[in-house]
Amino acid sequence: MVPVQWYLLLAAVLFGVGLVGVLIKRNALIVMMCIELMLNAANLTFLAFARQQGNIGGHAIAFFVIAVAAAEAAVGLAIVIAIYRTTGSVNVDDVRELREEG
Amino acid sequence: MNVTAEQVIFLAFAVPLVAAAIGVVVARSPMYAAMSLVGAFFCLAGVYVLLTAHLIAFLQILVYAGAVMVLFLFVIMLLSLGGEGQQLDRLKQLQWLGFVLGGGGLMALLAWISREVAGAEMAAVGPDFGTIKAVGRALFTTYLLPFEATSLLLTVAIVGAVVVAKEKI
Amino acid sequence: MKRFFGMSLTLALLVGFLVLLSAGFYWAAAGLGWGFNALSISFGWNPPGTVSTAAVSYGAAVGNLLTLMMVVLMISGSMLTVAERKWSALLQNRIGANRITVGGNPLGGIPYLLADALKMLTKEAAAPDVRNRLLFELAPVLAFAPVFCLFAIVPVGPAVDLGNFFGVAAAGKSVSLQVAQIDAGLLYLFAIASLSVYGTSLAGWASNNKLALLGGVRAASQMISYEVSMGVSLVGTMMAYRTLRLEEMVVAQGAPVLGGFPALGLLLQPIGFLIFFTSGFAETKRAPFDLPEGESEIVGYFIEYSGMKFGMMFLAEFLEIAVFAGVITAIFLGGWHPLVFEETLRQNLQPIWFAAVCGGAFLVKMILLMWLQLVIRWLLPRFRYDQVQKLCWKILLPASLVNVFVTGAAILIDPSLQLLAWIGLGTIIVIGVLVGASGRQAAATDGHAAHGAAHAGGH
Repeated sequence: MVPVQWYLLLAAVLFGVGLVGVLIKRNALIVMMCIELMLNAANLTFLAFARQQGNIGGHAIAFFVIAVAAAEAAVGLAIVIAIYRTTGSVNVDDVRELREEG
Repeated sequence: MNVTAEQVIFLAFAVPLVAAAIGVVVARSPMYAAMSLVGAFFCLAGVYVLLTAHLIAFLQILVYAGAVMVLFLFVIMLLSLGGEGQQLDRLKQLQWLGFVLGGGGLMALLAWISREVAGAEMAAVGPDFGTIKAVGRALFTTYLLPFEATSLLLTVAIVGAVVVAKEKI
Repeated sequence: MKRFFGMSLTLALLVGFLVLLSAGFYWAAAGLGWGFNALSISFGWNPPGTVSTAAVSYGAAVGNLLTLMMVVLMISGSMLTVAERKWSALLQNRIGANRITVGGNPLGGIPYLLADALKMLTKEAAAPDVRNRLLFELAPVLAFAPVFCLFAIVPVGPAVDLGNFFGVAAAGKSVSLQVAQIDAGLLYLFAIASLSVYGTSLAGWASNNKLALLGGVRAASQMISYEVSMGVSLVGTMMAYRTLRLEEMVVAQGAPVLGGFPALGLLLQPIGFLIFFTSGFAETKRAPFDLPEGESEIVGYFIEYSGMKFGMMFLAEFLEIAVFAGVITAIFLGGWHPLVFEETLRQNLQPIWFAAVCGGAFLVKMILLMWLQLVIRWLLPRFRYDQVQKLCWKILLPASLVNVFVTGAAILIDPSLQLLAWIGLGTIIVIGVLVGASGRQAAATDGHAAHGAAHAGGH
């Protein structure tokens, strides 16, 4: 039997890797992939606790997280395409038209 | 320490999973990052099966590997993106800061988990735990409202994506 | 008359051969299951004299893997490469592959298999220097592997008690001709089928060639679009049979509805069948949906591949035809149910032989569906790209959603599926009349057009 904290540690590592990626990567697509990674880490935690408590609710939440992630990816990628069309770049640092100068 | 077969299988999925996740962050080209992420999702589906979450494991492959990542791939191919290339130098320090902050947060989380939740026992579950029938029943009874809200969310997302990405409507 | 007798004899021999073949498969599965059990006893994992369910099912799975996936799938995939040539030749009124002869007899073109294999294996593996090395090598494998894995859940034959093979000691455990019996069933099908897009689009991207990239992008967008309608089209069958497992669906299709007629998926879900067939056909990327390939415009995503790497993509396409035929047989055509004389056969034959007849019936249906796919591929011209997307999003998807609603309402009103069967029958009749009428009309206008063209030519 695999103890539950192994799953939690794995989820924490995934979340941390995703977090580092979101913070240091500048390519909008890779940033979104790292967000997917973090969502998956959250899912893994839900499922681990669902298994530990014997409660099916965790599976339902994981289902919703997957649906939300799919919606997020669709809208996010549409935004990336729109930005690429206007600025010719997918670098998140290039998108600062609304920022005040100085 | 006595290692059971289940733990070996867990490690066989977890180690490649972490490697693939790190691969997403260190990859130069978005294409490699995407393929690495697909590999990570596969290993994660394996971990889900170990947790007797069969339905979620297949949904993971179906939705993430089969749809979301194909969408990423499609966008990468459509925009023909290369490597990251020259990054803005001004932000180098900020990147290091992000690395330190993210890594520090991760360490804190790991320390907390290994101290707080050590020794928690897994509950005994019946053979139908995590099957389509069980999860489906939960979704359509206890979680009916969130389930319907999800369908609304997906519709909104489809409309939003079309409106944002299309040049002329 | 002589020819007719010859053909009937050939067909009867073919059916008999398939029955014997599936009997052999049953023996292989049962033998390996029994052998695994003996092994686990000799290792001391379970006490002597007992039969372990796990050992039997693992052994049977290994046996089925070897027989069904290696023999049935690979052989039908490679035979399809020959069948496609012969059949296209028949449709185009030419003779077809007959230049390789063995003792003066072309043997129906079958020696071409050997020639093809030799050619693909010995050809120079030319590859562009500017390719992305890793993904370029990986793409053919990614195209091939998912298709191959799909066949694991196709139930070719019914479950037979192991006691029929090895006496009373083994009674109580059963083997069937299916590699994996998983709870997720159809979800596995969709999940794995959706992975085959990686092979094609990565091949297009990694070749670093404009035409290949175009092919890859076309493949990606076409395949993710049609996956949606493919998934929704099967929701009706899932509701009608109340399961996602293919083997349970096949069993449920044997139940009589509408005066003893079996509750075939085709009868209950004609619209679902049409949509699934069309979407699945689009997933195989063959004409009329061969836009990713489109040899007259962009040559396709595999333009830079040669030798066996091309061969794998080529073979993957034919394997897709075989797997798709198997899945449709299981979901819509009653799977292994022989459909005629089923009760008589069940009562008069040994259980093993009855199961073998069932397996043979499955293979016959599968061959018929593969043939149908070849005919469609050689009869229809290629769609324009916007037509492909319009067909999916504006026709198939709304139709499949309506189908889900109608099916749900019919099952809610009458859970015994009678109403659904009547609706299905009505739909089949309406579709038949419409097709007949439009076919006649098209023929009439064709005649006009031909006449007009001849007229214009005359001037």
